[in-house]
This record gives sequence, structure tokens and C-alpha cells, in this order.
Amino acid sequence: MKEILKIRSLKKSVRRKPILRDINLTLIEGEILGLIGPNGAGKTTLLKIISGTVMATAGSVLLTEQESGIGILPESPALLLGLSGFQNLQLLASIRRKAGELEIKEALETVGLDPAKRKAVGNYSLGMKQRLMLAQAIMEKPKLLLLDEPTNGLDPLGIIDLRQLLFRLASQGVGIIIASHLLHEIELMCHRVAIISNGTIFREVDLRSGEQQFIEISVSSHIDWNKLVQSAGKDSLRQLPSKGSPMGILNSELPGDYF
Amino acid sequence: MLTNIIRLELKRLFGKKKLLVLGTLGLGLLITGIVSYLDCDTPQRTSFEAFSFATGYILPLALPLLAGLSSGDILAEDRHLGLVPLFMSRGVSPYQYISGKAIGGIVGQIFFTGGLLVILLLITFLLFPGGPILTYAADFAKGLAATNPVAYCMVLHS
Repeated sequence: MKEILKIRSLKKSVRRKPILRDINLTLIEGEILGLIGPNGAGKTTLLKIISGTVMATAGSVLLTEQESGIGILPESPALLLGLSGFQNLQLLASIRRKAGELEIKEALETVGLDPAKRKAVGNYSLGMKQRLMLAQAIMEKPKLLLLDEPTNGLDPLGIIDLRQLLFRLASQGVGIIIASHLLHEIELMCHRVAIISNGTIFREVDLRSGEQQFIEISVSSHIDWNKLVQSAGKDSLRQLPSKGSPMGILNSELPGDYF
Repeated sequence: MLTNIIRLELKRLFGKKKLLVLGTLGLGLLITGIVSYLDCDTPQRTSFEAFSFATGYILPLALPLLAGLSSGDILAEDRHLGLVPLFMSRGVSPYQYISGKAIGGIVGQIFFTGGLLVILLLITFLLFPGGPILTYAADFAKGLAATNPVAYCMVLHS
């Protein structure tokens, strides 16, 4: 399989404060990679650096399919509220002139929006805005998709549609990176997960492999730790000595309903 | 890519309803100039004189205000709406983005102001006698020579 993204020794600091430290990551075509981690871990910064919005302090990001561009879905919808969904996509498509009317209509229909609707985006619900943002990300048929919290505002049916769409795109060779804090969704959507904390990827888990995985896990309080022990079972969890937040090693998958 | 961004910027600028409101406001201000001209004790009342008076009286004051209101927020709006990453992810460099925005804003202003002036000129044609076109040209040249001698010389040379 061909690599479409290669990140080597990536570092980002803001006013000497390190945000990302030595990130190494590779994405092959047709792979869905999940980035999970707590708020402020550096997930969004990493996506911004890959998309070219933010400059890295050191390291390299190599895109092998530069011509086909990157499709991004930012954390919050970025749209011109006075225009219709179709007009918004037309404006964005005019930057590269890669997608014509046909592609725009196709993208809107793919995400479940009506291309003929003249309603201004300002009157859309959050879920509709999110669908429209997804349409703008896929309309130019990029080889790399970066999705930041893609399930934000989507109803359960929308989440299922999104999951199916992502699998379809992956089967066409599109590489996808999803940043989210919803572990259950990531588990259902992704082939591989990179766990990011304090600006470092400290663990990569291949969800396709049936091998048992060991994950170092830390929770914020003893109440949470007890809940975790209850859900995972005593045999699956080994507590590690820690002065701060309780932490330990989890050696089996957590049940989905825990999250 | 730069041309595409300029085109996009113009489309956005002229697609705004705010611009229609500002155009009406600008035209209203310029017509105030014509009304003031009617009170003046001038021997001739041609459309050119009314136009010159209205623009000379109001335009220097109104233009910076209209320009600021119509396209002063071109960078801030993108940042506020979070559109910048969508540009960058489509291969637009910061240089192309800023240049495209600046050129688009300036060209948009020229079209906007030019459009206003053409409409005003047409209004003066309706309200005042025209006079021969050569008189216009002569009056315009006189005005240009008085206010912009360098531009006048360049016109003569060309």
C-alpha cells in the first residue's frame, strides 16, 4: 500500500511552550486513523500543521498526493451565513477550480443535503452545517481527509451515514485522519488509533489486529478509577504507583458502554 | 491561484446585501450635493457642473467611510468565520491569500465607487441640461489640470 502522508520529528512550540514534541506518523491510502487524547493534547494543532494552516517549529510533513489536495473538516463549521449551501461550495470550489457544478451537487447529495435548496446557511441546524462542511471537504475528491470532531452536531442517523461514507471513501483509497475524544466512535470508524497526550503520540493501536492490546490509562479521580475497575474487571487492570491522578495498565478492550 | 482568489473576493463583495445599503447611502449623500448645488448662485446649470459640485462637495468625506464600511472587514470576517484554514488546505499560500484579499478589496472599491459615480452622472443627465460633449471634455481637462497636473500631462502625452 502506498504511503500518502509521512510525518517525521514534528515539533511545534508557541512562546517556547511545546505543543507537539517529536511526532512521527505515517498514513497509507485507504486507512482511517483516529487521533484520540484529552483536550489540549495537540490533536487539532497536528491537523492544522498537516493542512498547512499552522507552521511547524521543526520536522517535516510529506504529502505524496499533493496535487489532489487535502479535504478538511474544522472543529466548528466555517461558512458564509448569508449564502445557500450550494453557493458556499461554489465559492470554495472557485479557489482551485477542480470541482464543477456536477461535483458540488454530487457532494451535497452524498452527505444528504438537497442541492436545489435556496435556504441561507445561517438558518441551517448544526447538524446540517456539519454535513455541508463534510461536503466541502469531499467535493474536490482529495486523497487525504482531515476531520476534527466530525460527529459534532450530528444525530445518530447522521453518525451512521458518516461512518458508511468514510468506509466508502477509504475503500476508494482515501486516507482519513479523525481527531475526536469520543472513544467509542473512533473504535467503530478507525482502522488504527494514535493516542496523543502532552504533544506526544505515546501509543498506536491497530484495531484490525486481533492481538490483545495493553494501554496505559490514567483517570482524573479515584471515583473514576473505581468505575473503571467495575467496568473492565479487576483482572484486566493493574494499578501503577502514582502521586497524582490514578493510573494503570489495561490489558483488554473496555466495553463500549463505559464511555 | 491569485486570480481565482481575487475573483472570489469580488464575488463575495458584490454578493453582500450590505453593499446595496451602502450604495444607496452613498448615492443619497451625493444627491445631497446636487440639492446644495441648486441653492448656489451659478450662471450655468449643466449636468457636468452639478456632477462636479456633488462629487467635490461630498465624495472626499463619504468615500473613506463607504470604503471602510464595505470592505474594511475582509480579513477579519474570514478569521471570525474560520474560513482561513479552508483556503490554506486548498494550496493557497499566505502571500497569495493576503495579496488576493488586498487586490480584490481595492478592485472592488474601484468598481463600487465607479458604479456610484456613473449612476450619479446619469441622474444629473436627467435633471440638468447636458451641453455639448466637447464642453464636458474641456471642463474635465481644466479640472484635471488644476487638481492633478502630472496626470494631466500624462493624458496629453498619451
